[in-house]
Amino acid sequence: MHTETCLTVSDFKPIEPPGMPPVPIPSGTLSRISSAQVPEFVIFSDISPDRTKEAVDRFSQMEERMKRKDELLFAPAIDARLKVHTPFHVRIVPSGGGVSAHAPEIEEFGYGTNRGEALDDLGKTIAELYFSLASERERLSPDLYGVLKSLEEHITRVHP
Amino acid sequence: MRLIIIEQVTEKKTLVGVFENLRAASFPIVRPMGFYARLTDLEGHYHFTLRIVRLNGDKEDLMAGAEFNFKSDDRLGTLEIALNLPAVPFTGPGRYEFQLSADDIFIGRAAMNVVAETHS
Repeated sequence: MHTETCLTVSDFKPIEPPGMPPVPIPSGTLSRISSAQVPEFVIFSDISPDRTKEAVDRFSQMEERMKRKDELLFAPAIDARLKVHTPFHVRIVPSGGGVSAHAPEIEEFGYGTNRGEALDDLGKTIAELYFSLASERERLSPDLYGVLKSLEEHITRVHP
Repeated sequence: MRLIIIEQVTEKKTLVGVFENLRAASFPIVRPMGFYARLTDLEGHYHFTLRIVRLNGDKEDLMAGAEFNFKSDDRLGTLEIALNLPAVPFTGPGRYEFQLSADDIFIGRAAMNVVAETHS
């Protein structure tokens, strides 16, 4: 015979140090955030014609704004030691069954099977390029020094 | 994640049911989900965009999205974005991404897998 023991939340009691009186929790202090805190959350396949024309127009405009753009501004956290203070312009292009993310100002590329992976790869490439050029700053050719200066227009080192 | 609970007095957040893989027996499905991001080095008013997309090779299918505004007064402080999304649609198995932008600047993403559950 197989039996199961089921614990419910009411089975647990808080651990209290001896002698400490329990602190009452005022009722109503725990609550879930309601969806009302997301003022415009839209499921785009759900823009049904029975909505008001105003709502359909607003949702359609939002969908248009959110459609994937092949050019974007890129400023994520690429390395804990670096801060991207000015975003890079990046072009997304299909590449051999995957995607490449191209930053034309510094002629660097990131690759991946999708846009997110390509952007991650570009971020790592930019960080590695910055560290390698910055460590050889005194010995760089004019071309490479120009690349470093371009990177420094976007990146600041915040931690050694 | 499954849900975010916010204590009203302290505004402390509890992230409940953090996961990376979602299993479903049939499609399409909708699921309430929580989205949490913690940002710093912000000052002023920002217009945030959250896009939920299904990755499809080198293409993306836009499933849902949210737009919201936040104000940060302290550049050294942190800004917490904690959203309970009422119903996120998943049209089929595959990889989905939550992509966050601030003032049209891409700042980060989180990916998850949706898997078709097979019964033997």
